[in-house]
Amino acid sequence: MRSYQAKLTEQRKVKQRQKKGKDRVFRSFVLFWIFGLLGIALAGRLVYVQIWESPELVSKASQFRNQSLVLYNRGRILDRNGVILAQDTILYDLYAHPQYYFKATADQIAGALAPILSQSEEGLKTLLKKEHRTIRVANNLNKGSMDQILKSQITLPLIDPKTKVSLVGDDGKPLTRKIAIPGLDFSKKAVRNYPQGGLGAHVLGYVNDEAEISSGVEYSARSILKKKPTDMIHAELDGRGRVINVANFDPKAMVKVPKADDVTLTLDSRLQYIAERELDAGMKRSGGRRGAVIMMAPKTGEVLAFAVTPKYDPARYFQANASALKNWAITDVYPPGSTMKVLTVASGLDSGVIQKDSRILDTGKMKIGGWTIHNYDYYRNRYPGMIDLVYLLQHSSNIASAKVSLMIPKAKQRELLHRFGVGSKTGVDLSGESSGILLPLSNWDQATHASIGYGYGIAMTPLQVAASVAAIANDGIWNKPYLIQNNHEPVKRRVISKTAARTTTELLATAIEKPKTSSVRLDGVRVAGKTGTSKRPNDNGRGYTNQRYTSFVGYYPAEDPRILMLVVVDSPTQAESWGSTVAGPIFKAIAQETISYLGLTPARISSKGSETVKKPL
Amino acid sequence: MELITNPRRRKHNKPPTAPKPVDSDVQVTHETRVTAMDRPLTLAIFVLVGMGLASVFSASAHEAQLETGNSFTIVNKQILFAVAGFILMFVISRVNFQFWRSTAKLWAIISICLLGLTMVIGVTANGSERWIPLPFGFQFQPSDLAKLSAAILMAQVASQRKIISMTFVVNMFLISMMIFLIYQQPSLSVSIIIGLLSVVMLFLGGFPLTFLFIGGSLIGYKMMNKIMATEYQWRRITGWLDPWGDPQDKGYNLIHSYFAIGSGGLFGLGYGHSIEKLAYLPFPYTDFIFSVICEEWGLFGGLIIMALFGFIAWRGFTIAMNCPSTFGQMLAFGITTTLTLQAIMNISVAIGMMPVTGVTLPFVSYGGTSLIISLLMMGILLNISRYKITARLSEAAATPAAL
Repeated sequence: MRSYQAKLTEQRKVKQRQKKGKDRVFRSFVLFWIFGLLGIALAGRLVYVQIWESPELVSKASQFRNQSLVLYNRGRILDRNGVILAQDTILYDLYAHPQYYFKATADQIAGALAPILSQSEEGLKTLLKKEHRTIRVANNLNKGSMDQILKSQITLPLIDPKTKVSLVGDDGKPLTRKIAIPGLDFSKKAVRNYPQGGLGAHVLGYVNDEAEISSGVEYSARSILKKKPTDMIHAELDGRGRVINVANFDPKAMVKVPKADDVTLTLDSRLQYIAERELDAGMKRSGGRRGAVIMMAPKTGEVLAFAVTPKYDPARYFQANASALKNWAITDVYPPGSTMKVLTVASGLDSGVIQKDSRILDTGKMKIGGWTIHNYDYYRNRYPGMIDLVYLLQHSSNIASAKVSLMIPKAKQRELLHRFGVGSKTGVDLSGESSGILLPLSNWDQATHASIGYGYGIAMTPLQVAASVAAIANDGIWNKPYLIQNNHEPVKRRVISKTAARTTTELLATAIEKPKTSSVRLDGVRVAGKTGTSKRPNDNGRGYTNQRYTSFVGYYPAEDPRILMLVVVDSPTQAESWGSTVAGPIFKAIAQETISYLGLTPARISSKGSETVKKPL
Repeated sequence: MELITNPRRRKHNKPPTAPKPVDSDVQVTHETRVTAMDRPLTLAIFVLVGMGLASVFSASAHEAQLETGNSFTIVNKQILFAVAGFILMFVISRVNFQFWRSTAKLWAIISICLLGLTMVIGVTANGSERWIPLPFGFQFQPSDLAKLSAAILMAQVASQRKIISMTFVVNMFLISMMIFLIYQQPSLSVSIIIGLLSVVMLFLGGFPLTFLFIGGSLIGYKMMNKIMATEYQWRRITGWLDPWGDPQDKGYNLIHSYFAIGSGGLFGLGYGHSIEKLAYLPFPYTDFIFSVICEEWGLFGGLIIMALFGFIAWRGFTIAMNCPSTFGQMLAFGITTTLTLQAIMNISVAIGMMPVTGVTLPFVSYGGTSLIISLLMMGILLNISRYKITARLSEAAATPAAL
């Protein structure tokens, strides 16, 4: 009986064991499947990240990685005599990486850096303790400061690596060692600077290589100034900005960029300086809104000076407002007004409707196509009567100019204006040029035809006016104005005959010599020129405001013109604002000073005057 | 007095004579025999360690070159560890696994002592004290030894017929000590691995599911509170959930791991051509070595690594299921679970399925202690693999016949 009991207990135990065994098998299967499903989930996620998201991640990775910093050294911009107007300076930005401070503390590093950077040590301490991977410590350091930082050392106590006890020397003082400041990085960059200040700012333009924006010559000569390393191998950088070493590869070769070429301008920095100074003085005197002085060599089309106000500092272009940044003398148009009469007379002479000694009946006031036009001095001189061309130019007769214009056949007149460059871009080496307005022949009614004779009904940029009058100064041949001497290809075209051009010059010079217009007469040099005063059109293009454009265009010496100059002042506020009272004095001040510089005075040619010109114009 | 005597005293492949059921946990329902150790598993380990060495070289060359001027500095050490580890593996595979049962508490106490020592003379790296300095510039990481001790302790607990016993109380206390000490280093990830291992082993050992669930939830809740209160750990969580929110700081590691994996594509950039290993990805030859492998060897490389771990896990489970001794079975489960959990956690971190922790990839990542202990564990597993149930006896034969 007892043995039966024992056997029964034994049997129950075995069954329990078997049950437990089966349970164990079940539980291990559950575990196996949990691991299996986790594995499948991981594999699925891996496929998703590595295949599905791969293109997006690759593009993001290239943004996040350090870019290969191939430093583009822009070429310099020089004036015609080699004076540097713009150049690149290499500067350095300083960064700190807290994870690479090594055994030094932020306080020690701040202490070492503070005197070099001339920053407060407390400020540096808080900056260097920031919990970022990269901290920008200082900007625009020069090479001297960088070398100083690289050479400076900090002192660390010498610690036994095993016992972690500071070691003490025989003399009882703790032993120390000096190491270079750890955890610092320099990033090299090129910064544009302007040794002549902002001289010729509107011609040079501004540049920002990182943002890839530029204007002026910086933009139009970009292919010369900035050489791209075409056959260079792309340099990869690691996470700390070091060039990655690839086998059989010289890391120095990777970052070498072909030297960019310098750009030589036609500008003469001395003439530019005089022009800017006198324009500024003139603007202050007259209270004008904006102004421009353009000096050209009429025989070649070289632009010798190009002063524009309001001015800006190209090194801080981002602080200037948009109207100052723009070179309005090529982007904006204005009605040339009386300066247009030069072209009218020249066209009349060329087409043969008038001769040098022609006389025209000036009635002081006339009605044409429903519009009444009159001379500006109508209330002083109601009926001038028969006048010659010198009188026309000297007194700026609107009536006579309109009559000359009407005498020329429409098609011929328009063709000549077109050849003078009215209504098309001059093609100067600056971007943003406007082409001006020259109405198509179908829109030319009689009133338009007449008003074009004295400079209304058309619109030109100041540079177009300068270039067109330069054609008369250059015996009737129009030259494309240009600024960049590199790879220059001249564009020329004959507009009017040489005799017509010569006659016009003679008439202009004679008109200047008459006593009344003495405001622009120069000592010892004959000037051919014409004042201009035009009403400022409303910005919406309908009608005219009370404001004016005053201008003077002239060239000298009249016998063999070397310099052509246009002065335009927009909206002067002084009393009696006319071409002769606002623009004329600026012209005279500049011209008088340039005469000696260029060696134009017969008395000074033999002395030192001619020596100052390194490259004859 | 054991069912299976030490195989060193026998000739190979010779079945033991007439097994006697003496050991309390041995079931008399099987016929067993001693065979050679598991060859496919050995091969898989060799392949994995080989791939690991190649990857460690590729991932560490840049840093080694910069720090010491020799790109082999780091991988040379790892080769040394691998050789030592393999020798140890073959030696251990000759030691009967019952040895670990008899010395279970000894290893636990050694681990606890070393963990305690770490707190006193530990080497600090990346903000935690985990290493004990050794001569010749080597370092020992006691938390790796603790993993092994925990696996043995839990195997002992789980193999008991009645799981709640004195052994249970003592062993669980020892494990709690280890987890606490490791957590103090701090090394949250290793304490999580040991904690999860304990839960898994209790589950396998037949611990009542209700208690397991309640206990697990309580511990999980406590842990969550702790993590949310600890700033650097909470930053890891937010960095994981939205890495692009702070790409330079919190999300940095994960983003660069993504970049590495994403750039790899199907076939990878080619061995040695990883870009992310070049000072972008932190710890490219330890914590994020899987990302570097994916970048260089592509999806195929990543899947091969995962397949190898899957294979090792499958072999481990098979060995466990075939083992006639419950302790052997549980030890095999414990070892397999430890290594598989570690691999799953490491890969999960790399592919963004888990917040960033400091878990290394067993056999692959650089780290002497980790590699040697992992290979030692494999030695134990290989030893267990020698004992197999060849046939299940019938129910009648199993029941005492004289009934």
